[in-house]
Amino acid sequence: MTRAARSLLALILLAAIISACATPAAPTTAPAQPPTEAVAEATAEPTAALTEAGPASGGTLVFVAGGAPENMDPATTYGNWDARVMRSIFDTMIYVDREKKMHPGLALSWEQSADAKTFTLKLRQGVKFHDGTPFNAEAAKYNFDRFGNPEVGTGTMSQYFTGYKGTEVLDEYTVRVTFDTPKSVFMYCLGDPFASIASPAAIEKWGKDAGQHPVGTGPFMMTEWVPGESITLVRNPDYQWAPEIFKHQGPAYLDSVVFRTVAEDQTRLAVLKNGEAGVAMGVPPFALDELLQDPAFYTIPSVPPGDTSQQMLNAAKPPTDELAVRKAMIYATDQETLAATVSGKTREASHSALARTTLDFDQAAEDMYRYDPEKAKSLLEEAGWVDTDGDGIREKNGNKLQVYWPAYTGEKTFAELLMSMWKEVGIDTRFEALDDAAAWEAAGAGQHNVTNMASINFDASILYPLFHSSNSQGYAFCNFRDDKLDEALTKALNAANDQERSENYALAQRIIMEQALIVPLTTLDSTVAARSEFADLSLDWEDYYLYFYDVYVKK
Amino acid sequence: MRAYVMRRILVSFLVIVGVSILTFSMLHLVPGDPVRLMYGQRPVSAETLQVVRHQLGLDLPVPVQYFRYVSHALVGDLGRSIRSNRPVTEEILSRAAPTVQLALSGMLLSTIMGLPVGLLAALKRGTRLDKAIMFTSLLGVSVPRFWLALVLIFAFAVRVHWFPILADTSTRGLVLPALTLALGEAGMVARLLRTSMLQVLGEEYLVTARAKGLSETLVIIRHALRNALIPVVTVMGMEVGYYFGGSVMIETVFGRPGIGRLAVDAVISRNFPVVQGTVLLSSVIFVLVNTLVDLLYATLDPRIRYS
Repeated sequence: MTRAARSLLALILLAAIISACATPAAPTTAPAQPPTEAVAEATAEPTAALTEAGPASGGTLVFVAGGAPENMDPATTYGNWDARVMRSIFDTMIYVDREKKMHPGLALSWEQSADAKTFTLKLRQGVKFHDGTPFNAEAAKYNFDRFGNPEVGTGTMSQYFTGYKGTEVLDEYTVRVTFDTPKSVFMYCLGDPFASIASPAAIEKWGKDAGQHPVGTGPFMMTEWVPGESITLVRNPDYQWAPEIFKHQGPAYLDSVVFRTVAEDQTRLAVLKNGEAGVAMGVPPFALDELLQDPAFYTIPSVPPGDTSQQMLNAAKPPTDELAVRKAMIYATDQETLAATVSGKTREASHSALARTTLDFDQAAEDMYRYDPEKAKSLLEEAGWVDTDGDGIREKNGNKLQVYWPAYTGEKTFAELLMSMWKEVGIDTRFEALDDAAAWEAAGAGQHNVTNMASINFDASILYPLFHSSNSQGYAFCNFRDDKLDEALTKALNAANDQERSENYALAQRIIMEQALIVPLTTLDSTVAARSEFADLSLDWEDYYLYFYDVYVKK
Repeated sequence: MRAYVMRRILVSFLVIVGVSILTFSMLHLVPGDPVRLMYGQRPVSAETLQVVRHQLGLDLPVPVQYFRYVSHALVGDLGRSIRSNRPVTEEILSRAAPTVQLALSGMLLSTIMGLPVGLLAALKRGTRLDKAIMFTSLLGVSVPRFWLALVLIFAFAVRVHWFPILADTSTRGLVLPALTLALGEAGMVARLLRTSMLQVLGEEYLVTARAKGLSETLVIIRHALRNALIPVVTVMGMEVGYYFGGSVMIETVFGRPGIGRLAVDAVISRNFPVVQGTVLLSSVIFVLVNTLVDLLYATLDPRIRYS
C-alpha cells in the first residue's frame, strides 16, 4: 500500500468513527424547523387569531433553560429543574389556581379533620399511569408512604411529611392520611409538583434508577432522556382527566415538548430568536426590552416564591452580632437600584425574607424597612461606630467596621454595587470569591458575617430550615437563637388551621426583620420568553412552573 | 519493541493508580460538603442531610471510602452520581459519544485547514501570502473561543439559518462547534508546521534527494514534510487533552453534553464519584494517546527505535 493510500484510509476511518459516534443519540422526533416570517403575521392580533383558528393538535415545542434535570423520583428530588419537567409528566392530587384556591386533581374531594391531623381523599376513577397500571388508593398510599419514610423520602416533599403516621386504604378510591401533629398546609403541599404521584409499578421496576424513569399520569410521557442535554416528552393520548383549572379537556395539543439545557444566556436568546426554541427561561436582562418590542415574542414575568435573594447575617460573630450594625446594613441597601441596575426588569426589589408570591407571605414585614442611608449612619453612630481616622470606614474600640463575605461564583454581578452602598455609610466589606462548595463550607463553619441565600418554595415553611436554631448544622446561617422565633416557626409548622399558620409565619417574618437577620435584596429571576406562535402558555399557582398542557401552535 | 510496549503499559497503570489516589485525597482535602451544597437550592433539615450522607457512605472515614471505591472500581463499578443517582459509567458513556465526535471533527478540521496552509506558508516564505497566512493564524490562535463561538452563532445561525446552534447529533449541528474548536487549533498547526518545515528545508538530505533527480513535489512531500511532521504530531498528541477537557466552553455555549462539562459541573458540586470517574477516564485516554504518539514516531522517523 502506498503512503497516499494509507493516509486516505486513515482519513476514511476517522470519518467513519465520527459518523458512528453520531448515530446512538439520534433524536426520535424531528427537531422543530426554524419557523419563518409567517410568525410575525400570526401575532398581529393574537386574540382574533385564537377565536378564529382555534387550538389544533400538533407541533413540537422546544423549551430551553439553564439547568438540567437530574432526578425525577418525587420522593427523593429537591431540584427545581426536575420539578419543572415533572409538572408535565405527573399529576398532583389537587391543583391550585392563581388565587390560591384548591381544585380537584387526582383527588376529586377531600376532608380535613378539625385538628388537621387526618385527611380523607376521594380519588378520581379511571386514571391510568403511562405504563398502563391503574391509579387507585393503593397507588396513593404507596406514594405517601415513600414521602413519609425518612429512609426513602429525602426530597423536598419529605419536609412536609414529618410526623407522618400512615395512610389507610378505605376502599379502592378512598384513602385516609394521618399525622402525629396538625398539618394545616398538607392539602396545599399536595398541589406542589414535588408531590407528584408516580407509578408504584415503575418505582418497583426501576429501583435505584427510578429517578431516571419518571412514570406518571400526566398529559405528557417521557420517551427519551439524554443526560445533560435533553428530555423528550410526547402527548399522553389517554389523558382524559384534565383538572378544571385548564382551558380544555382531553389530550394535550402539542405532539411533544423537548426540554433542552442551554447554560449560556446568549445562546438561549439566539435559539429563541432563530426559532430553534419556542420558549426560553431566564432571559438576559439586557435582551428583555428588545423582546418586548418585537411582536414575534412575548414574555411572562415571574416572581418565584420562597426566600428571596438575601444576605444572611451571622448574629454570632462581630460586628454583625450587634443589632445596630445589622439594621444599618438593611437601611444602607437600596434594593430598588439593585433590582433595576443588575437585573433590569427580570427581578423585583425585596424587603423581607419571602417573595410576595409565597403562601403565608406577610406584607407588614415587607413594609418595615426602606432605603435610608441617613438612618443607617445615625444607628451606627449611636452604637459607637465613628470614623475617627477619616478613611470613610467607621471604627469602635480600635476595630474597623468590616464584614467578611465568602461569596459564591454567581454573586459578583451585584456584589460591587452592594458593597459600595454599604461603604457609603462607613461599612467595609472583605469580599472573598470562592467556589460554591467552599463558600458553603465557610458559612457552615460560621466564619462569615454575610452569606447569600436564595431558594424557591411555595410556602413560608422554608423559613424553618433557614431560621430555626435547631438547624445550625443545616442552613440556619444566621446562628441566631431566639425562643420566640423558634416557637413561631414550630407552631406554624404544626398549626391546626390556615389562620393559625399564617399568623405564626407572619410573626416569624416580622421577628426576622426586627432582629435584622437578613439584608433582603431582590426576588429571583425566572422570566419566560416565548415565540408568539405558541399560545396559552401559563405559569402555575406558584408563579414559577410552566403548564404546557393548554399550549397549541397558532396556524 | 514488545518489551517497550509492556513497560509502557505497566507505567501507565501506575500513573492511573497514582492519579486516582491523588484525585480522591484532593477531593476530600478541599472544603465542601456535597450534600449540604446540593440541597442548598431547597434547604432541608439537618436530619435529612444526615440520612443522605449515610446513604451515600459519606459519613465513613476517608480511607474506608477510598478502599470501598477501589474495590468497586476494580470490578468496573465506579459508583453512582451523588446528584442524579445514575451509575457513573452511564453518566460518562452517555456523554462520551458527543465528546469524541466533537474532538475528532475538531482535530480533523484543524488538520485539514492547518497542514496545507502551514506548508504553503513555508514554501512561500517571506512572500505576502506567507505574511497573510501568519497573520490570520495568529488571529486564530489568539481569538477567545467564547467570542468566536458567539460570532459564529450570530453569523450563521441567527442572521442566516445555515446551521443549527443546538446540535442534535447530525453533521450539520456539528459544524459550528467543530469550527470554533478547530479554528484556533488550525492556526497553531499551521504555525508549527511552517517553522518545522523551514528547519527541515535547510537540511542536507533534501539536497541529496534533489540530486537523485526526484521531482520537487516528491522531495517536499516524502522527504521534507514527513520529517517536519514529527514535532507537529507530538504537540497534537498533547492537545488531545485539550480537545477532551478544553471543549467545556464550547459545550456550554452550544448546549452540548460532554465529558468536559460533566467533569466541571461535578467538581463545582463536589460530586465525588463523577469527578473520580471522569478523571480516571481522561487519564486513561491521555496515557493511551501519548503511548500511541510515541509509537507513531517510529513510523514517521525510522531512525527512532525502541529497545
